[in-house]
Amino acid sequence: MKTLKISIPLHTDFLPVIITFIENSSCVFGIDKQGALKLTLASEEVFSYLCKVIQGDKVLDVICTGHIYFVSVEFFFDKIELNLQAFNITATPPSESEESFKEMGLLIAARSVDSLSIEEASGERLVLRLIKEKSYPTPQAIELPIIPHMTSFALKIPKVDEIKMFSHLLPVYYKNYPFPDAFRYPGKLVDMVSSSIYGMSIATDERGLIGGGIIWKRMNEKIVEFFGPYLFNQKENNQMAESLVNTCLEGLARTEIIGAFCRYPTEAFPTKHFESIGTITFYQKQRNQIEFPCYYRQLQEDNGTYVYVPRTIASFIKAEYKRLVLPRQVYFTDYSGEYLGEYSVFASEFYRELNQVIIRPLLPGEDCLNNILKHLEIFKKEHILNCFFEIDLGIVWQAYVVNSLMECGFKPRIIIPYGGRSDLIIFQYTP
Amino acid sequence: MKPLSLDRLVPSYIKSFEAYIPSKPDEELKKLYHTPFLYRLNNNENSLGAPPAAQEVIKKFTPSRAAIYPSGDSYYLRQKLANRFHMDPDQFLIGNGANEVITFVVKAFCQKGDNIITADKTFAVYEWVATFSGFEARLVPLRDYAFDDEGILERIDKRTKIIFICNPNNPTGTYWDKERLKRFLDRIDNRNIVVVDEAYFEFVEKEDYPDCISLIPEYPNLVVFRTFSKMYGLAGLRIGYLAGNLDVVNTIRKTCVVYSVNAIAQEAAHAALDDMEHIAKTRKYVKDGKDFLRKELIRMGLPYIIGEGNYIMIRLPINDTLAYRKLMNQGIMVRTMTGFRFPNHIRVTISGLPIMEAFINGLKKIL
Repeated sequence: MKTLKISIPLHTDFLPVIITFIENSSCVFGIDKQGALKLTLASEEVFSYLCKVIQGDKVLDVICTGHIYFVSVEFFFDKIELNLQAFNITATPPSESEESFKEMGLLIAARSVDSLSIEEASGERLVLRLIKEKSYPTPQAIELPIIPHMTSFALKIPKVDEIKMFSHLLPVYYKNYPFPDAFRYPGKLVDMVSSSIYGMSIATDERGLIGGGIIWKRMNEKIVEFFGPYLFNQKENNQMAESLVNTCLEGLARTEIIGAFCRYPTEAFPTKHFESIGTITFYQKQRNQIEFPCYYRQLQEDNGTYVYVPRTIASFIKAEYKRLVLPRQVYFTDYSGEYLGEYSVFASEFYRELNQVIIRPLLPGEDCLNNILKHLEIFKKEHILNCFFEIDLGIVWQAYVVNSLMECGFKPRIIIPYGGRSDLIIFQYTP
Repeated sequence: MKPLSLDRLVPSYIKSFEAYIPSKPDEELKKLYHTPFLYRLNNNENSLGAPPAAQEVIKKFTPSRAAIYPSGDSYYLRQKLANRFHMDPDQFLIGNGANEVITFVVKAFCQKGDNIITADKTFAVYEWVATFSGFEARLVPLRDYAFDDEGILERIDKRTKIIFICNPNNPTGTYWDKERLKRFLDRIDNRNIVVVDEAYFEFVEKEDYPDCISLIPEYPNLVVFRTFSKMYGLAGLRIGYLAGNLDVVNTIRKTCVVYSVNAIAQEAAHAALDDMEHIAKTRKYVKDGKDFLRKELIRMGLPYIIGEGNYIMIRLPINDTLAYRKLMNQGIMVRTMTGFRFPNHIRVTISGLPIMEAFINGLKKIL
């Protein structure tokens, strides 16, 4: 990981400096020309926007970091009253007003990169982060080995060639099964694992043939989401599946990770050592739908936490906490008319290959109901069938979003203990 | 005023280290889990408590003495240990629990680029202290639930300073016998400091179990840890010690925080050492408890790992953290083992038979 940093006065005179800095940095960090241009364009728009809305002689810290498979640009600035509405994917192109033109830039920025997020940084500052992933060649078909059923196997961290082979085997054995598209690209999977953002373990026989594997990544600071275990021609090899899961759990022990979560368990998944935290419905383009029970387990002893729960879902929450034996201090809370700000802001994370979007609320607002409806409209137009909305029960204002969600047709489906500031509840929309 | 730049101030090995969060006080846990009582079977404490003589010392401690500093280096306790083991008092260092003496040793011998070696599935504090001090902790997988001597020897390099052996191992209860330990020390040939943690020494009755303090004259690189938290029932007072070769201990003393052991702990430990009857009684209830659990667990078809020490590890058909919550609802607190890298196992402290029966009944209810 390499980092370049500049501190630059917030004035449009310095726009060419930013453009040159980002363009050159991202090229040096290995992004192709087209990707570098998009990242530069997004950075230019963000810088211009910040110049317009931040008054006075301020200095902006800009950090460009070359990660193994993506480049990030971070803008650090003092907390200000930003109108973040433009972060909504539903933000519309500007009308005639001067004000809305200001935010058009952010809209362009958001759509030019793979991810745009804003969060609190240390020292009363905010950080606006742009991420652009590198592009990888489409995988070429290769001759795959015949994999025998393995009665004995060894677990290991895969080498580069093994990760690539795994990437080729996965779509063959799990053709109609949802998994992240990135796993299909051997080079990308290699980079994701070597970046340490993803972890991976495989099971091999004495000849080095791969019988299966498991991949995991951090959902946030406390929760790991894992994918698999994927077994290749190892029907009912429970021992291999269990060993793969255990090796993942052992690797996470004595870290800050509190829980492990699996959204799309495979048939081989050892359910007995996990807790069912609800079911989600996976809608496929052909209008088929598959019910996926989601599994979770904690890695540490539960010392309890608090949650803010709107009364509309009180019975659901109570029943789930009882079923899961979770020690929780529950504060029932309802919106009581206080001013929340004019515009709500949601961040949307897309998984195009799964036809899936996950929405997370960034700011509350009076327009919450309309904003959700506008999001749904866009998802409908884009044929996105799997819409999830995450509510952090540790943040009181997020509880106020729940009534609007329910009104729009979302239903609470799963609870991820400690998935947010406290527990996270995932709502799903029925298309 | 400029904002605090923690990012610049904090070393990278601290940034990546996660603080250990201990469990909440019992009263809070009882409220959280809606239980009127709590059987603590999670920390391998002695259910008989401290020996009667130590309890007397605690009762007689006058509040006015709280204003006076204790002996800075536990003078009288070291004298007593020296008499007991026929050694020089300066061959002992007393710490605020054995955890503190682990820190002393690591600080005394490691510098940037050095490493320590221990097992992957053992008491976590050796690994933690090394890691948050900026040193590499090399973890060797257990072999047949025991420390793997060959594996450790293979991992030693020029920068290896300390090898930590937990004997008997927590949580598996396995131990190296005297012959194996001496063979290992011979092969180390004084190149590294070998720490043998004997936290559960007093529980072991096996004849081939080594008394490492007696081996110190033969092996100057050997440092032995013992504690008053387990057999002697003084966990709440935090007191433990290390013993070693005089030159080695004098080196460790340089990193030792004096006055860290309070006066009641020093005096209670001093009194506790004389009570042999307490050890016999404890061993008896631990043996009875183990016999009872063995029978019950076989009847329930649950695999278990039982060895030396006052604990047993049980493999469950459900995840250990769920079992913890369900048992807590019944007022039974066990230790989950995922953090020890044994997913789906729990470790249970052996206690008196009525509590062991309550544990088994609780376990039956949740499985």
